[in-house]
Amino acid sequence: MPKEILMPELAESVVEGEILKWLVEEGDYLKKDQPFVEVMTDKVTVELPSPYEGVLLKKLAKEGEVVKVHAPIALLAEPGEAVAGVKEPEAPPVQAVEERSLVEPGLPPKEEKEDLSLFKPDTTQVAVKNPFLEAQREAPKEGPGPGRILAVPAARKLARELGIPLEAIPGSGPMGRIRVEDVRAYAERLKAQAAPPPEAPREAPAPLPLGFPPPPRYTSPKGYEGLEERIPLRGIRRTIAQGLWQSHLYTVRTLNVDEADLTELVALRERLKPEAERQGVKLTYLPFIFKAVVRALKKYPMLNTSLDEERQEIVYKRYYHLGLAVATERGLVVPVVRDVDRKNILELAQEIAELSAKAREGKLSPEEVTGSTFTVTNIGSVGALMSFPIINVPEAAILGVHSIRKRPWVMPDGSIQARDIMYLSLSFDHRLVDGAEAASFTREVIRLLENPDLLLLEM
Amino acid sequence: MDPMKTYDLIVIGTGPGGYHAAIRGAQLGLKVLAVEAAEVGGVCLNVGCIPTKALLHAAETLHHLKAAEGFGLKAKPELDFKKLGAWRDGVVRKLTGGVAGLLKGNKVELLRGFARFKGPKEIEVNGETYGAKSLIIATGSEPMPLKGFPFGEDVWDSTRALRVEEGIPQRLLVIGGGAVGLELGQIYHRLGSEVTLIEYMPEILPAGDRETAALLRKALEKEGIRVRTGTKALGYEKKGDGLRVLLEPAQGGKQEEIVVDKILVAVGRKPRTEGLGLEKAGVRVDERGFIQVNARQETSAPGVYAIGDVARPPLLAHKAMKEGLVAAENAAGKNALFDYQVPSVVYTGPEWAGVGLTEEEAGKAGYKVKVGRFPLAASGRALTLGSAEGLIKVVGDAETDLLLGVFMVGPQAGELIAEATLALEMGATVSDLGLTVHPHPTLSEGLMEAAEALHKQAIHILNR
Repeated sequence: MPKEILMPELAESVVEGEILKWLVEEGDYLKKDQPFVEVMTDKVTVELPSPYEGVLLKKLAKEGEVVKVHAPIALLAEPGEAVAGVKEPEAPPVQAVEERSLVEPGLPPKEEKEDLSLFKPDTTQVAVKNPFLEAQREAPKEGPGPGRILAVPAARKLARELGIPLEAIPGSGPMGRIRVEDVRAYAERLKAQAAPPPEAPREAPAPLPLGFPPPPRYTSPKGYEGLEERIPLRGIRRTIAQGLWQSHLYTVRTLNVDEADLTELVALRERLKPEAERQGVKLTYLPFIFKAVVRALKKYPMLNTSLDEERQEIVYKRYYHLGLAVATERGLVVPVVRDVDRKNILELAQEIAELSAKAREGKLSPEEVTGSTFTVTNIGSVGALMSFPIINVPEAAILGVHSIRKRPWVMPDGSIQARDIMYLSLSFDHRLVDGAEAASFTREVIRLLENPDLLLLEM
Repeated sequence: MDPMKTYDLIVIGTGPGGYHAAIRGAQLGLKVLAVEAAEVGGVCLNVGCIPTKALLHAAETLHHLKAAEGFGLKAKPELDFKKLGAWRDGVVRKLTGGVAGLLKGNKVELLRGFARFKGPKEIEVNGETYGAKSLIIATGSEPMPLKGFPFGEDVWDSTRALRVEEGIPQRLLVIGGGAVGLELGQIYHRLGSEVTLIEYMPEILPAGDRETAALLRKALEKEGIRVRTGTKALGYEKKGDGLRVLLEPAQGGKQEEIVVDKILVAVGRKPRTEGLGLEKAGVRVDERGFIQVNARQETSAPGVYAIGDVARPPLLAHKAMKEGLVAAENAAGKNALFDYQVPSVVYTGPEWAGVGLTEEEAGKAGYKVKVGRFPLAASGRALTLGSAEGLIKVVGDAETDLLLGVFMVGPQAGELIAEATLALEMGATVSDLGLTVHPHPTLSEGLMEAAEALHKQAIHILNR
């Protein structure tokens, strides 16, 4: 008997994964533990190892499709097994659509385990009837009574030809009249859904509040269409877009900017560098910044909170997992260094280096990108003078650290010296954090960085 | 024995529905056989819509010539019935020849003979067997006889009534106030007969808006046709001075006798299924004899479709045509559905036409009904045509302004109703009709004004 390979539980809170790329073809021979498919969850990509040895009979999910945990993704024939006559299961994309229709509209989404991931999966389900299963055989809503579906004849004809029930199609005409272009648009959306079903919730967004403008519409300038390239919003980019949009909509983002004289820290790092290198560690400023941030977070705990909107509670955290925004070729990812307060500078340096490397290679595990309580974004590595970071929801704040440069600095004695100066920008959710508190937090971070001796107490 | 000839599609009957089905089937790449027991074109082209309209036109022209005295045109028309008959036949020949040509041009094989089912997908014609993947029954309908009035020399059916060249009776009784009775009754009246028309129901026209039906009746009465509604005919006797017909009020009561020379029975038509052997194909009919079909025109037998008069009312050629297309498309593997608005037209003078829901039907369906009326007496164009009698009525939903139905009586109502039908198909609101610019001076302005009247803002009448 062929075996089904199921979507594994990739992490505690992960409920589904997007099939990014098949690494093997149907008919290929797989060794046990051989990576055979690339799956993306939340925002990391993993290569799934084959749990068995055998021949890949059938891919049950297409690239771009989102598959629920424990749902089958492939059929594998064991070695020596006759491959012929294998009964193939139904086409999966249709099943995927159908599956969603099982979620009854109006029911609250299934309760989820505590999810500390940065970007929660969208749980708003939309019941989508499967239009492909049953062609409409009778006239839609026979009779002319109120509630009859208004559709122009050509739209009715097209809908029938495509096998889409008129009831399912939102009409754009006056009084919801269904026009031909509505049928086409709906059919296009169905196609998109059939590939990755989770598009559904966003395709049929909740009605916007009164007066809330719709998303801007992009139309290609005439004559320049050929000079444009369109790439589906997928994978990491989609996750990023969704998370940032959430952050933009659901935080009261406020900026606090300050500067720090890191001359002493620069000297300290220079002194420690050779020793770190002897231990095989490249020492950057980030471990020091992390240490300073955690010290400040302990002093100003509001910055290490989250708002549980549903329960209207502020969640204080007595653990310090710092996210580190890393730019990669695939897009921005935020690996998480756990329990920063319990690690020393060298350990932190080591871990940051490892996580950054993994991020660039796209090899972070789901655990490694979830659960941060506060995030640091190292803008200095690229080099803007100043930037306004976006809060990594559901955190309360994010600290942007910029490049360390020699700048003229007025010393306590009034003289001007060239010092190693760094700008800091703290972006915080003003609902949780007051302005004075935010400023005090930044000052505390600066005090610790300017006097790195104090960090010894953390070692 | 020769091997059975097989086709993708066999269409039984080449009336309006049948030839539409055959041509569409061929257009979709099917190998089509059309079987015709009588004349290509069926009732409509040979003994229905077309010859009737030819005679109506002649009668109307005569009527206009007489009416033209009013604006100073004096003419002494003389009618040559032989020539009229020949002209009518010429029109019919041209059209039936055209249909035969279209069938041929579309590579539809035409077989003359009566088709009988031998099995689910087999028919026998002239002793030969033909098989097909799909069959469409389009055998149409025939005049319904009336008890006590067997068709013959004295009692005509609508087909016989077309043969005006054989003489115009001095006195004619028309039994039945539907489209056929009204049209033929008016033809004979205008050609010189003394016409009495009786209708069992309280008003002429079996369906549609009552107000405009009453206006049509009044117009016919004004022209000189005696119309007696709520009356039934019990029987007749042939006496020396003519046919003595016994009439009685529909609810019972005092009987009376009228004397006429001929009787035209036009009480309806019945589906033509006799001798077809439907039971051999497993095709079921309903209690009235119509073949049961769904919106895809499918009968109870898989692969067998029925369209037109044989399938279900209303018995209208244009309904049959669209049904023919639907059936042929389904036979070709498409997914077509008959879900259209069907307008009705009575080609009298003035014409009556209607589409959609009447006030009563809309109310029953749960709408909050609002009606707009525009009398053609206020239409400049109607006045210049010398026919200011008439009314255009628009039925709409007060809550959504959705257009629900349009009914009218007046000149060229049959042409005007097409606009209303399109509006209904497009899901137009009453405002859409009112906001559309209509050319002036035309009768179509009346539709716009009726829509405006529903909102109490028509210009040419006082909106009370």
